[in-house]
Amino acid sequence: MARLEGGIGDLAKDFVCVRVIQMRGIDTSVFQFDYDLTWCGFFLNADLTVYGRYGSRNAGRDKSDQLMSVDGLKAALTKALALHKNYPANKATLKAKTGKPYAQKLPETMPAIADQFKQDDLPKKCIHCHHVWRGIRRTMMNAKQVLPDTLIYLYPFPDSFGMQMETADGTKVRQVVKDSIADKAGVKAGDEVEAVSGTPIVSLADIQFILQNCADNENLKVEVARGGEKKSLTANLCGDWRKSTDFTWRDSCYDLRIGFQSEALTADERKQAGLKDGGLKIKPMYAQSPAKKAGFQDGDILLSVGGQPIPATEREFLALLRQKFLVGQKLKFALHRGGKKTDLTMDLP
Amino acid sequence: MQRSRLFASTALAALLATFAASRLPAGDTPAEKRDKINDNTEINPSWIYDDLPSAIAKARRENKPIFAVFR
Repeated sequence: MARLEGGIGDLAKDFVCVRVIQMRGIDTSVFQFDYDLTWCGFFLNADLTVYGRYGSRNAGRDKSDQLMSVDGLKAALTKALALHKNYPANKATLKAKTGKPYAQKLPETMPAIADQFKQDDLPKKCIHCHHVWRGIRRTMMNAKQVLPDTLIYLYPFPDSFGMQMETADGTKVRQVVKDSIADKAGVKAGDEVEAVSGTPIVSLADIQFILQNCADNENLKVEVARGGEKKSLTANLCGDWRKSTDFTWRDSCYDLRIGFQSEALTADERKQAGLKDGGLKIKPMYAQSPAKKAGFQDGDILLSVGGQPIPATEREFLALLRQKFLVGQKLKFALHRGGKKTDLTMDLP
Repeated sequence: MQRSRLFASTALAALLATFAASRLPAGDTPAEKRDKINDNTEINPSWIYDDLPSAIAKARRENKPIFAVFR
């Protein structure tokens, strides 16, 4: 413990610390967090009441930890400890820290991945955290269900309604975007968010968890500490705030794709393809890509799918695929390739 | 980037059990690895390795909260 830096060691002494190496046997009705993280801290009582979670991510591997900090973890640990000291008097306020259970609690029983992970042969058959998203989403897709927004735009950030948080303590507001929902609610830079919808907050990840589970048009009660005073504010969520969440950096995103990544068009490319807006260009594909096998080529410009125009961002395109079409459906793509328009069909994997 | 590195290095230091596991013979079963790590109090006297039920039982006995790290 002496090697734990930055005061985390002293805080950790007040906890029972456990390192979990994979998700096999983990009850996802209790341990709900963003499964695309590289690292997650989870704080709970022995009766499985959740105190909070720590760990947020908004970018790929080279920037995967940019929202994490030693100070942030210390702040979260300190707040979780305070919640434990007040337990069980505060038990009712912690109820929303546990989400609704998924169709299957244990990852190894999720139909889409059960076969893949049926052998208990570590380390080859470790169920990684991101496999849980595959278990949940691919199971739904294989059952011919469209994915709801909450399973596409995963773990939204409060930035989506204009409230940007500090990395050193994810409960503190760094900046409020002018005229945003947060601004209209009266949130100010420097505010410390103590509770959202009556649920105490220990970290940015806790705010994300509330947003992950709330309705699109919810009136969020945001309780903040400001200059020694407590203020109760209301953020009236509305519009497409959830859809501003980028998810294309996620490891789990490969399951939404059909064998390629895509990028926005330049103005010249759009003009050459005869598009006023929208359209995407296929990035270089891997050898075994199902899209490559279906005839797509690197650099193809996607114009439409199933009669629907291709939107301007990959996240909108992936949402379109998984919310307008079903697995196994034959999709007709219109493409622009080498100065000519062409069509391709592909069964949605 | 510096902040990211600091966090990563501290988090790794906090997870000494992981390092210990990587130094164990490849043939150890998960249970053997866990036992060896839990026995190795010189390296880490308190972290429980990959045994959530034990952590829950200990937390109940000692009336402490649980800090579970998923990595």
